[in-house]
Amino acid sequence: MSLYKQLWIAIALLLLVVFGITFTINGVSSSRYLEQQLSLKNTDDATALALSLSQQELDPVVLELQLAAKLDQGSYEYIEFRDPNGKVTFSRSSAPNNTDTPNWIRELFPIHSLPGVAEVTNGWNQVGTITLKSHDGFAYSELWAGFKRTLIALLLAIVIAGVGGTLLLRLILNPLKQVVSQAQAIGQRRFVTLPEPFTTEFAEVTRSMNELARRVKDMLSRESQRLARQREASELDPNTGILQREPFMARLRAKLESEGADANGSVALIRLANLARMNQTYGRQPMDTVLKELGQALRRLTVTENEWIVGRLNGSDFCLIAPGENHPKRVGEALQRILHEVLREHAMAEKTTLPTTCVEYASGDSVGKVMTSLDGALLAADEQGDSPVTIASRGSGNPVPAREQADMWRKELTSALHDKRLLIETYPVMDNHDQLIHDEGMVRIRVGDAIRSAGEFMPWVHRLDLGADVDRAVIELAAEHIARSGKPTAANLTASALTDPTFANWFDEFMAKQPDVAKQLSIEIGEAPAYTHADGFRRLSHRARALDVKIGIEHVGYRISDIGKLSDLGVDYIKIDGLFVRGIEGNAGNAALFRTYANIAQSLGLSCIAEGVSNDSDRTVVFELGATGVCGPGIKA
Amino acid sequence: MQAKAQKKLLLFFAIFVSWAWMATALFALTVPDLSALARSRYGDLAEQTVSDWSTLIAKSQNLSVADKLRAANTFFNEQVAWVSDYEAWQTEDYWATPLETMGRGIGDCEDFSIAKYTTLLLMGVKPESLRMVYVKAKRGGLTQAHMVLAWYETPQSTPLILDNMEFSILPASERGDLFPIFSFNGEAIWVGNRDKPSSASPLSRLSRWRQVLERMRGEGFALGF
Repeated sequence: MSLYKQLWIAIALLLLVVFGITFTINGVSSSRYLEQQLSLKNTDDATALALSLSQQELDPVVLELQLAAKLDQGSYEYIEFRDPNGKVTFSRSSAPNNTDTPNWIRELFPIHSLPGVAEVTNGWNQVGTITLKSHDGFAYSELWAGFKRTLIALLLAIVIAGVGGTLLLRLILNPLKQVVSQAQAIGQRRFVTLPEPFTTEFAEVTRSMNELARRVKDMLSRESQRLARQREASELDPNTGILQREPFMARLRAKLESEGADANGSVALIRLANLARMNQTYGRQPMDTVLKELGQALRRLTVTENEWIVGRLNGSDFCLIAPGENHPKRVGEALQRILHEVLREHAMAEKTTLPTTCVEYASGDSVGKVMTSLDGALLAADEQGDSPVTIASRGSGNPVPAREQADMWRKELTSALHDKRLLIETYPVMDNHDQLIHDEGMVRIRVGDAIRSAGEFMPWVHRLDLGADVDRAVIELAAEHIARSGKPTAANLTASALTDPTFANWFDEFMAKQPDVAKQLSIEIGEAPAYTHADGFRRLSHRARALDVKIGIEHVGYRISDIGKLSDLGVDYIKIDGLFVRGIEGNAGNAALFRTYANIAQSLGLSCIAEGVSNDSDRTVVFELGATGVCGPGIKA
Repeated sequence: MQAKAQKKLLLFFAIFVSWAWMATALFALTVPDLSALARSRYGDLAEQTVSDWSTLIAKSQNLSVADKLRAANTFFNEQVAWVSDYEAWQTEDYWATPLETMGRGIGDCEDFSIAKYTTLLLMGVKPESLRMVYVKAKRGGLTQAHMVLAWYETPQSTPLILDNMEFSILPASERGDLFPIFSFNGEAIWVGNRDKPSSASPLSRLSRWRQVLERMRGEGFALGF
């Protein structure tokens, strides 16, 4: 029972007790008072009558007439006259005056008024004794009226106390609501910090929870810094601070194998020609400074375009991946402009050329094919002795112009959505004991007998802004899969699930209708959109909780500087990208990264799942490093 | 049924019931020991008067009613000097208790009547045979309001009059100077009910007669009503 209700009951009980006591005291004292007043009236009336009769010559008729008149004119219950020997010679009573007083009042507060008695004399002779008693009806009516007044006063008091109590309760309970919401948030792994409320007790609770949240944030920021230092040591080029060749190539391969919107885009390669000669001309020290500034400029680029990745392939070659960007030349030009500007600042622009080449990549291309075509084109450009931006040939006929591709995909996707030709292929996510955690559903499109993979069409879904439609379809397919197989299933959603204002409501309505399915469903969002649209993620996470749907972040591991956000997103699990898992046994940097994430997950109470596990050795190592689940080509149900 | 209803009201009625019980416990007909009180209030002389009075009552228990009347009448007519209320108490009309009357040795007609009435009751005279009577008194051409005590042998008989202006007890028929206006006795006030109001009842303070009864009770008199 809520505190609110309990306080209300207490107030109501208190008022009832007060009413009961007031009523009793009122009733007792009023009935006593009325009893005395009635007795007094009886005595005075009897004396007055006796005094008046004593002054007259009385014959029985006159006496009776006077007594009868007194009875008829007054409100007496009875008038009696006894002769000096005690014999009753006159006794008359009148009917009680009717009142609407309920009987229980008479029984609860009886009024026993005393009859008035007085002697009538005639000279020295005793004539008799008058006894009379007034009706008590009016006294009871007075009592009843008093009861009704008390009742009305009580009702008024209840209304006033109710209004006042409500305001007071609201004032008191406001901070409690905050405390409860913070506790709930922590239960949902959202370590939020709130201002301390005014009430001492609540403030202490909030302080403790804030302390907990602060420690979690500290821990995350420490881990994030440690990972950044590690990455610097193992993956970054010491001169420029951007990725070295190996890790860069691993990221390129991840893009080419991706099933998401980043599965196609552009790659640009630029060569700082004459680097060797410039080293001789200017000296190594100044050239290192130039290279450092180049690296900084390139890193600034990846901050504004936070999906872009830059790497230094060797001394003079720099490469840029721009996922989702299907105008390769624009990417090439951007890259060239950055380098050119840095060189010009050092008055070196004239001493070198910046041959640049670029190419569009798509899902299914191999790293070798992409790099070969870039290298060939760059060689040709370099030989011109100039700084052109060329587009490398992909070797397979003429590329289809972007606008035509877009039209084709729009038609294709719209009809696929309309005809419900979307399907999901599921891949198991297994735990340490080979028990299924959930089936991860990958979206596909059926075209005739062929099936198109997500990597082919997801970039177009993103570009054509069809993400919300696909997300809805994926949720529906996952729900069907759950209904059909009874297995817990995860659905991969796009950034639209976080940004489309209609999606959350649709999701609410759709899942509310099938609570049994909701319990088995997980939804997951890529790391980049989850961190970028953190507010949207929190909203979705909140709704998912309410529906008993689990929510996770997939392809985790790239944005180590955003690890701190994990503390208040409200996540159930994270999936570490295959890039950091593949060949983990021989890669100390990736192993350290994985261990860190696994530790963070454990501290926050999340599951940590390794993606892209392709063999037993990877599987063994990630479990040793603290994974709670694995998935990938090497994992079978 | 009323008693049953009262019990329902727990505490409050319990208090009333216990008060009523305490009040009834006082109604025993005893001669109070007033000497100590008389001395502390009025001095040695008063103590002597009161102790004489107590002895008188004790001695007269077995006398005939006529002797009791005479004893009481004589005692007060001799011991107490008549003054007006204004002289005695500086108020228009004050009804004094027997102790006050004896203590000060002065009183007006009501004080005489009350003292005699009380004394006779204590001697064992039946209360219903005694009446205090407001009379119009004519003396030497002067008419004045007066009060006397009347004793009725039977309700129909002619009463004997105990008066502080006429020392001998005479039947009413021989008191042509008195014209009765109205009479009452202590008993009549309470006739017809057994639940006598407690001393805490404001009712008991309302008339002079009840005030004096109340004061008497305070001094230790326990009359049968």
